[in-house]
Amino acid sequence: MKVSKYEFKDKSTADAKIKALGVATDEDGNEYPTHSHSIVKLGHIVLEQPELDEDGEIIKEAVLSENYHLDVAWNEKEITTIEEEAILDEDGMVITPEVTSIDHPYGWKSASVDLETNGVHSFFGIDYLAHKI
Amino acid sequence: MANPTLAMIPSGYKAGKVYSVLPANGDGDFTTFTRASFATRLNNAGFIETVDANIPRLDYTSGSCPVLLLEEQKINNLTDSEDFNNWTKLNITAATNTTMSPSGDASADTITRNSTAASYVNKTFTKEEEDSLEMTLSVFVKKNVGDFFAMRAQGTYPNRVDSLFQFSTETFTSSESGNNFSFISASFKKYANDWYRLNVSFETDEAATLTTLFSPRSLTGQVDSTDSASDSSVFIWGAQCENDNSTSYIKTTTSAQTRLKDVCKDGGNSVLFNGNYQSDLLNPLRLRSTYFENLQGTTDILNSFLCDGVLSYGSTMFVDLQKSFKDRTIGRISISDSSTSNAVVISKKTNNSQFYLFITRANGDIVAEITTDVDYDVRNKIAISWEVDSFKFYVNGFLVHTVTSGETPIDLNAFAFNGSNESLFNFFGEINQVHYYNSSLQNLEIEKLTSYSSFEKMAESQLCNVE
Repeated sequence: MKVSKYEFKDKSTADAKIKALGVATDEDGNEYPTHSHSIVKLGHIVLEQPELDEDGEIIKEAVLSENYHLDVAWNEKEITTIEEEAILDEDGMVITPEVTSIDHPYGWKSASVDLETNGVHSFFGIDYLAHKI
Repeated sequence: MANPTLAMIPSGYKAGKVYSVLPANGDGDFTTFTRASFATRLNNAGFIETVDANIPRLDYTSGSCPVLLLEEQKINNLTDSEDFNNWTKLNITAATNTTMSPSGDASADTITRNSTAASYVNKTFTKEEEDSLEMTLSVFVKKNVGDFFAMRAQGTYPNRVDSLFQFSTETFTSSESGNNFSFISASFKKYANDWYRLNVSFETDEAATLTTLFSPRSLTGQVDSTDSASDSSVFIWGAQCENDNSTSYIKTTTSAQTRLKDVCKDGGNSVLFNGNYQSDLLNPLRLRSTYFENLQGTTDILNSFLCDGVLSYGSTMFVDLQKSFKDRTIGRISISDSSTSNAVVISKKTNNSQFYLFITRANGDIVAEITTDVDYDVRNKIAISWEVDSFKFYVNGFLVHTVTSGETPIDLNAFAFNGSNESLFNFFGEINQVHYYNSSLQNLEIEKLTSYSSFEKMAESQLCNVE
């Protein structure tokens, strides 16, 4: 599994990228993903908490990110490209293993964000820094 | 009554695998279990514990008999779920790690307010979209000073829901304020050592953010009401706010955390599901096979008779499940040929109030089907039996549908908690047990199997008290 963080200019752009990963329609007429990646919509993340008065009314608004954020746990198999096929001998034993590469799906790389920490969100028990692309 | 050919009663597991109790040789085990993230469960000692990735969860929330807990992906939006000193505080103090928490370690905090009108801890997060969403706020609390605990979920002020829990009566009082922010339900679950998990579900307004507030109280009132005492306090741990219903606890620290979905499949194999596997029914046939001893390929002959309908033996699938949470997806439990071509399927509809039961054969043609209403949040026992020209569907002790013509699915090879042993339509809920019989049980047998073992059990399953 690989974990990546993305920011898009707005929600509709993010939704379009998600839809391009593959969707189908179920028997109830609802769309469902046909890929096995795990996507978390974080939205316009809170950069600064709001300030409330004694009634709970906001006296200073929260500061939100201008961009729309996603975290994705990619299924590694589905984003792996075989660059060179394995070379086998006559008995089917591997002489030279295949060469593979892992990269963001088409159109996602430009929106990726590279952090030095886990950021505002992580997958439970999974260290982003150890799993990022 | 015949013994099941496959019986998975949650009891044994290891990383990536759930064991079936029958058959004893392991042929019925579910050999694929995945969940890429950590998750939590209530263990048999009554404590909430974190389990590593790909470890199946046998959860004891419902009592001494564990269930296999299968949950969808969920995010806990509240950071510092166990550290209330890191929440924004107004006229309240938070002492950290003061008492034993539901996880069995000294990680619960004490929050103590004064009598000032507004005394609370609060935390704000961004919703996944600026839209009206069904969400649930939950927190573990234990009574200390004062008999009440106030909770609030708030969008654009004054749009909010307030709920007040009274420990001594175990009752909630809830109210709505403002516009477009509505109360759905409030409930609690008791845990060991007098801990309660309080759950308040609501539909938000379209604000980008949601603010959650907590306050202990000695008087009735809301988080921003004056209190009679200047030292009302409560032990508190494990705050969580998530979309839709409350699910298992997800611990957070400095960042929101997502628990990934559970996937369980690859139960059994092609030998087990295709009739020639130590069947009580087939044993006589095996004995009679001595008549064919001068012929080669006895098994082929028997199979040809079966395919031609000269002989037939049926099968029965039984599931005993509960959904204590709604989800927005179709969730299926199936025995299939690892495709949609041949399959026996129990499918939860997205409306969370019906199951669609169906059997496919050949190229996915529907042989028999029925959509049936069910009560959610209770145990449901569902059985499907099939043999040539006889397909029967049972729900909670009742035969709900019969089809009297059609061929049976072939080449079945996997029991799975998804649509066709692939990765789509995963079922999320609590599994009490699943069985497969390589005979079509008699009506009375299935009615007994899918009924309750006593009047008390029936009442309990329907959340009724017997006095």
